[in-house]
Amino acid sequence: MTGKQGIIWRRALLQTCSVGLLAIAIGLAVNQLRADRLPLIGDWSPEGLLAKDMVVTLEEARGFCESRSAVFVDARSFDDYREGHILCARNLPLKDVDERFESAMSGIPLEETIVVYCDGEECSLSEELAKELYFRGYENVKVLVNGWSRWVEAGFPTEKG
Amino acid sequence: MARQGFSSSILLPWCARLILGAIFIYAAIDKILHPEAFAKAVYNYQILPHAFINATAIVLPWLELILGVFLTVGLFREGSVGLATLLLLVFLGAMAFNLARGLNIECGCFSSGSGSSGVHMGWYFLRDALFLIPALYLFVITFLRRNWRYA
Repeated sequence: MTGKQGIIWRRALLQTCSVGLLAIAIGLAVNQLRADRLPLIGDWSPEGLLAKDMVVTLEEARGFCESRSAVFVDARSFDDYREGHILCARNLPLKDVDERFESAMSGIPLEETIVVYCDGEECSLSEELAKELYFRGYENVKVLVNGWSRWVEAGFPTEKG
Repeated sequence: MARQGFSSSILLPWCARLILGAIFIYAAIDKILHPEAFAKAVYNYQILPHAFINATAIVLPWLELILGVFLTVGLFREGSVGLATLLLLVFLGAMAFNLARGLNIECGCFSSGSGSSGVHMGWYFLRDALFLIPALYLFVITFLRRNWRYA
């Protein structure tokens, strides 16, 4: 390697590092500023992935309800369910899933679309119940985040008892 | 004769830089717009450890954009040409690895959309191999030839 080429390679290395650092700085800064930012370390486990693909919007859920093309499952307690739930929803409280699974889900084929909901943005019942249903064989399980409150707020059909 | 040689020694590298730069800029835009979809594409390659997937999806598109701009305007020529060639080789290697183990996935090269386009990864591999032509040409005249200053 001639002296001139040595200089070129050294310069290339320095420039490569600079470009790399610049990309890291801009990438991180833009990611922080945007609304749909990615966490630096994502959850790519099967459960994490499942959670990402499961969420349905309120409008999608309404469509499912109107066309009766999905089965709604209320993950809250029986008392909450009795006070009011989404029209035609079944009740399967997460804590009783082992005992009540058979009766609550009887007659529902495994390929049926299931929309699980509970109440409150921090409510993890529906997500956990959705995973539970998924691992019990239901392939099309969706979650309506903060479902009950948003459903009532939007004035969509509910029923009691 | 001498005049013709001089102009081609400037024009050809310039064209190669422009083509390569445009490819990198075009490739970066959709990924920057849809980081989550691109992260999924990176995940689908099943090569990187999970902890590095999001960081790659955050930084790599910007690296491509910066390289594309630098190649186009002729800034940091040695570093840009070296890194662009290296990146293309890494992308090709990742595709070859998945082709070899029979994993036919979306390449995530220009569009990070999750839907399957039905195109076999072998075609993406060939396309990226074509992009290597301007890159390797620039690499040779930048690093291995004496009149490197024209690159």
